[in-house]
Formats: sequence, C-alpha cells, structure tokens
Amino acid sequence: MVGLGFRRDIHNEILDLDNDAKPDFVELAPENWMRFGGYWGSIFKKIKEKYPIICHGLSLSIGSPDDIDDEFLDELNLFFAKAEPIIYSEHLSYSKCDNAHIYDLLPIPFRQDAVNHIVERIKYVQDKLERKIALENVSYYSPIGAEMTEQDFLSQILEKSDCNLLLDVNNVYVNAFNHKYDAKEFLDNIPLDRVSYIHIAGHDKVEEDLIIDTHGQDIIDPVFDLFEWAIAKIKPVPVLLERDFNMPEIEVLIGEMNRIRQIAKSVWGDNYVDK
Amino acid sequence: MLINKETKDLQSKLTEYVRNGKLPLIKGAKQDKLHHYRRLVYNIIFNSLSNAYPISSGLLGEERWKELVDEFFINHNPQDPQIWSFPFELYEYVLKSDYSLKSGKSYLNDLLFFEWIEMEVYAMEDTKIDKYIQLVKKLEIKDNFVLNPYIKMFSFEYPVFRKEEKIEEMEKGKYFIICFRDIDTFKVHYLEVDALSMIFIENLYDNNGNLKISLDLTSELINAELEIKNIFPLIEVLNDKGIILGIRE
Repeated sequence: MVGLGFRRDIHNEILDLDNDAKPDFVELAPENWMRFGGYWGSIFKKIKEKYPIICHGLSLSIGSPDDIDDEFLDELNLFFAKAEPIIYSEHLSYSKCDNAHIYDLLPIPFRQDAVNHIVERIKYVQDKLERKIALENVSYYSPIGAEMTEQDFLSQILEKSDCNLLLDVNNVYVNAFNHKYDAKEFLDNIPLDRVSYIHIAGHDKVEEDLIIDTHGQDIIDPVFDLFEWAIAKIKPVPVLLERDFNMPEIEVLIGEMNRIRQIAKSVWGDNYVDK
Repeated sequence: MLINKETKDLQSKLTEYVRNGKLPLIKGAKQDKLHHYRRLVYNIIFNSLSNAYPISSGLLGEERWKELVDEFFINHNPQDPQIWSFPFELYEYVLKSDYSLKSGKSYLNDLLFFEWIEMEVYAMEDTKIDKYIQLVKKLEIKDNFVLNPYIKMFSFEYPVFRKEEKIEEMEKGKYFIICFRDIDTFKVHYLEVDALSMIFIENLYDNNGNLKISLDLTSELINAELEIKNIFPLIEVLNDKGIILGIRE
C-alpha cells in the first residue's frame, strides 16, 4: 500500500483520483479533523467513503515532562470511532512542556530516565486507546543533553514499551547527514521487525552542514536509494509519501507514488501492490 | 514520574527559548543550530494567529501585531491541542490583559471576536436536524420552528461587521449580531438585528423553536402584548436567511 498525506489545499484533487493514480490510503492528522463539521466535515465523510485512513498525530507529546492529557485521549478515541484508522502513529518527540503546547516537534534528551518515562507513557496511551501506536523517529537539528546514542534510545523505547515503529526514511537520511553518522549502520542497529509503517519525503538543505525536514521538496535519489535498501530488511508495510508545503501539481505526487510503488514491488514482490 | 529534574530542566530550557527567543546555554546542544527551532515554532504560531485574524493584524500593523504575538507567546501557555482552534486563546488574552485599552484600539476586542466567531461557526460540529416543512404565510400560535443549529448570538460595542465603515470612525453603541452557517452551502453569514428581535430569537432558541412560549416570554420582558402579526416580518427574514428552517413536522 502506498498512500498520500491528505492536505486541505489539494483535497479536491485527491478525492478525484481514480484507478492507477489513486493512493491506496490517505494519512491525516486527527488534530486537524476532530470536532470539525460543516464543509470540512463533509469532506471527511468523502475521504472515509473513498480511502482507508491512517491517523498521524501531532499533539500527543509522548516525550513531554508534563502529564498525559486524558481528555485529549478521549477525544482521540471518539475520532477513531469515526475514522476507523488502520494505524495510529505519533512522533517520538515533545510538543508540550511547562503546561504549554508549542505545536512543533522538539527533540527529547537521549537519556535513560527519559526512556523509562516515555515507556511508561506509551504503555498508558496504548491501554487507553486500546491499540498499539507506531512512533516515528523524528529529525532533529541538535541533540539535547544526550547520554546515549539515538539508536539506543529508540531501540530501548520500542522494545520496552512494545510499540511499533513508524520508520521515516527521510528522517534517517537527514539525521545521518546532520549528525554525521552512517544511515545504514543506524538502520542495522534498530529493531526493524517493529516497523509497521514507513514515511518518505523531501527536505531542504539550509546550511552547509544542516538539512531541515520540510516535506516541501521532491524526494531526492539518495533517499529513494536508502528506502530501497531499508525495505529489503523489513516486512511489507504501508508507505506514505509526505508532502506538506510547496505543493506541486498532483501529477508530480502521482509520479512519486508510482516510483515508491515500483521500488516496493521490486523488493517485496507483486503481492504488496495489490489493492 | 520517572524523568529526573535535570532532563526536565533541559526540556524546559529549550521550550522557554523557542517561546522567548533568549538563547540559554543548553548542555549537550549545538548552540548554533537551536535558532532553527525558535524559527520553526515561531513561524507556526505567528502564521496561525495571522491567518485567524487577518483584519486585526492588518489594522494593528506589522510591528504592533508582531509585538502582540511575541507578548502573548511569552506570557500565555497555549492550552488547546488543536492548532486550528488555538487562536481563540489570543482573543481571551487580549480581553484579560486590557490590551485594547492600553493600545488605544478600543474596538480590538470586538474585532478579534468577530474574526474568531466566523471560524468557530464554520467549523461547528454537525448535528442532526429535525424534519420540517416549508414555512407558510399563515402561521399558527401552536407552531414549532426547526432552527438552524449552527449559530452564535452576541453583542458588540463597535459595528466591526460593517465592511463599508472605517473602523477607526465607528460609533460606540450596542450592536446585536447573529452569526450562522448555511446548512447547505456551509457559508457563514451575519445578520444585524435590533434588541427586541434579539430577545425574541434568543427565546426561540432557548425554547426549542416554540412560537407561543417565545412570544409570551418576549412580551413579558418588554411589557407589551406581542402577536404573530407583529413578529411575522422578522420570522420571514429569519426564514429567508436560513435561521428558521421551517415548521417542525
């Protein structure tokens, strides 16, 4: 299955896609659709009729030092009852601290106490939502007080909490570039058997030694290559083309989805692309 | 909580920085890269608020609007997990902090609310609407109306909804406004009404569209006997606009 992020500025184009051009699923952020009626409520119904949905959250803030927001989890459950997502994923980061939402993803210190803290929170969330969550390896532009490697931090959290991994291939590429490590070696040292979902996207190089994960450009060849290399080690899972900014014509997105499909088919075989 | 104080402090330091722009020394960080976090977060906040309040931000001007956003983001802890509805907290902040008085823009409270309420009504959750038949000329006192559920009623001190008037020249007074969403097109509209009409409409909504009760309550309040014929022109307008949808089956 190859899917596309459902963005409001191209909602009509995505809803009009058919046959080979049609994504196998769409991904949306529950926070952008919960408690929404009217025009966007009507669009949500159309999405639901046409596509399987994957929910990719923004505000859970699993790495926050603040308490988990139970009211928010209740809202999520209500939304999931409507959306019936095949997967719920979130970010291994924090977006709320000192009782303030900041609406973006900040890097968690790679430390043992943070691992233990987050593992407890994941278990709590999975219990409350009665489903496994998939956590995304996020891109980061500076470590903060790290006392272990990113791969140890990620691996321990996945193993101890028994959650799944949303493997963002572009983020592996970005982090390897920004923090000067080998992307393949990183992938070889995390539990890839926990991957339940993959993201692939474009990025922007903003400094000689820094890439920002913007989702605002086409995917570059080295990221496609890393994707091909990685999926050979992973069981077939849904793959999402992420594009949030600097939106091109829908044909460009269809072309990128087709390229992802071809790679997936070459590695995983024909069965994978059956809808 | 399993997280220790030092780790929590590191997280707090980064969060404080992205909110106030004052870069502290953060252990184990690439200090020269942290500004990207400040930039990314600030842009999200600034754009979200500017998009929610295009008229207010335009009237305040670039510099003052940025000052307000900065002040708000430093002093206020955003509580809403949904970024689309978070801008309402700026309105609450301005109201609470008397910013409009201090800035000499006394109309600002009304203007921010006016801009916000359009978004709120536009996004209101869908609800089941009872079956109804078209309104006929001959109304009976026993009639019950089915009302548009996507509606907010409020009063302003300044007529900020009048697009033809210059906001700086608007006269202070008491203005009654109904903001509602068309049930078919989803478009949001405004209707200015007088005080008596507002009382009657509020009574209709408070009493599930019951014409008799609404007339009686309104009559009681204004100390005069209202009849259907007195209120019929208003009912026609409300029906024409899509606020009264019809008569309950």
